[in-house]
Amino acid sequence: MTDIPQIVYVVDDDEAVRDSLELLLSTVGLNSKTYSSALNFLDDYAHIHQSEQHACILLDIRMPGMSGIELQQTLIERGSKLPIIFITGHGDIPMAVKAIQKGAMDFIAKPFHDQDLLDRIQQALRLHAERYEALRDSQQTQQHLLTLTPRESQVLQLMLAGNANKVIAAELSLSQRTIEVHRAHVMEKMHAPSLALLVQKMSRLES
Amino acid sequence: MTDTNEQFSALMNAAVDGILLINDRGSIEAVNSAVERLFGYSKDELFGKNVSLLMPEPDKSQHDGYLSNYLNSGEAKIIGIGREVRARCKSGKILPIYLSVGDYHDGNQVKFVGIIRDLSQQKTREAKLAEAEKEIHQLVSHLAQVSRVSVMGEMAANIAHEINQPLSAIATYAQSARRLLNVATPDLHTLKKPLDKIAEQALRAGEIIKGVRTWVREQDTERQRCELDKLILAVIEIARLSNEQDEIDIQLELEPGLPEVMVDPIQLQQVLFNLIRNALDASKSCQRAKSIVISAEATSTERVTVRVNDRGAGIDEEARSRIFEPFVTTKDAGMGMGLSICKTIIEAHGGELSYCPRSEGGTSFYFTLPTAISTSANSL
Ligand SMILES: Nc1ncnc2c1ncn2[C@@H]1O[C@H](COP(=O)(O)OP(=O)(O)O)[C@@H](O)[C@H]1O
Ligand SMILES: [Mg+2]
Repeated sequence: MTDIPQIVYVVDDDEAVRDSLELLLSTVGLNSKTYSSALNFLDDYAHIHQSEQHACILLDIRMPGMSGIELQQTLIERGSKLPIIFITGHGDIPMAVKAIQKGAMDFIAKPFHDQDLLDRIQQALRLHAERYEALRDSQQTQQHLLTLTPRESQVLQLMLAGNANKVIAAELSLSQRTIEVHRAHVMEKMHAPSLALLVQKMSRLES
Repeated sequence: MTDTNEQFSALMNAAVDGILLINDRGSIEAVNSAVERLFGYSKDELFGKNVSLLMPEPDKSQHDGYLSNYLNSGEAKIIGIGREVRARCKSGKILPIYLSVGDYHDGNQVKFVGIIRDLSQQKTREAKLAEAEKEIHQLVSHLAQVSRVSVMGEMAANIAHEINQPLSAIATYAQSARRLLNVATPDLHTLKKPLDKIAEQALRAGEIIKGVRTWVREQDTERQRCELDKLILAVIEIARLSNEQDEIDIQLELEPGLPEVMVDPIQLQQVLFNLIRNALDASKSCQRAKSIVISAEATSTERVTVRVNDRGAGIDEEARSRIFEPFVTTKDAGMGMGLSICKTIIEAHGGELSYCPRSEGGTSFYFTLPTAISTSANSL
């Protein structure tokens, strides 16, 4: 998780606000990329979407042209998993509340307290990392599943249902010894050190 | 022929409009029930009388002339045309009516039939309509005034947004600088950029504030001699309009014979409107008597004082020393620009804006203004 680079995308129409945020983030070793409008960000989105970085967006709610709220909507429609922290000004609170209801992670009012802002950014990056890893894990689990033989798949299903080896053996009309061998193969192929972890991997897959 | 007679009188009496027949000398020969109802005379009282009985002057004395004129010249003024005229009831009441007249021959005598439509209901309707229209006009012009007065509020919202940008940038640069210093061996050169930027952004904020001041001052061109009480009354109406539920009673105590002042009426109204709004806000959040009083008095030949007194919760202790500064507000949706702009306006007019707590609770905001006489004396 830590070896993957992190980046904060800053979208704000005010040059000084962007520049000062970039500086602040750099003082804590955070990479950032700034955009002066929602459209500029969208122009870059294909690229952003493919990058393997843990990221979040600091998004100004009130901008000329496409507003922060509209950008959020567009990103939702495109299935983006990037956490958004809205930057709000005076009197934008009702708008910000709506944005949160639509899934924005948080909002922070201008002018910001640096530590508040950095805490929220860390939280957002963590959230993205979790979303990212959950996605990667479930992709891996999918691939592991494909390596199982039909017999091993049957054994896996019965294991997940919580059956003891004896019951599984009776169910499949096999010896208990054979089941033990299948079971060891399943655990190995699924990269699961324990039954508990195997169950966890499989349940994440479903959600 | 009785049948025809009965049919005839049934027809006559069923008509809603008044119908009367006169001969060529103007004597009434027949009237229907509607005529009795409209004019308050009985058939007997009318029969054989000159029809001018039912007319006010000048028609009354000229009607015989109209008749002989028509009989001699055949020139119709009303016959076959119909027009709006005035009629006179027995009670003396004047009735607006629509009169149509036709002539016919009875043997060798020319006779006339008049049909009278009562227009009084239509007239009241029209009058009411005109009244309503006038009210709408007044409302519209009030609304225009309200929006002019509240332009200041909108402008304040924009300024708040504008000024928030350099402020956030300054805060962020300063916090970054602090972090840059917070290492074992800080590289002081890295501080140059944030410090330069802070200075630059502070100047930017200053420019925006200056913009507000200029905006207020630029409007100074419209100064004129005004009657203070008229200005106050106009603002109070606007304030009443915006005090929708009439929750709070707005009272007036104007000293008679207030001197004129030399002011920009719109700006002065903006000041009053903002003070009243603040007083209304303060009253709403407090359970005490819900009334505010606006008073004005001449304190000398050279000065007038206008007060807006409320019985609200008083000035917030923490904000007390700063309420005249821009963007100081204790309200959730407040802009904090009102008092700052009011002060600028009053001082630009050579007056003072101040406040004091009231012994009975609440706050008194007051401002002074030089009278028009003293203003022109000074400029001489
Ligand atoms: N009549 C009043 N009674 C109590 N407090 C007042 C009154 N008028 C003004 N204040 C205080 O002064 C602050 C600044 O007022 P103002 O500059 O008009 O801005 P705003 O009305 O937007 O808050 C108010 O938020 C309020 O705390
Ligand atoms: Mg105010």
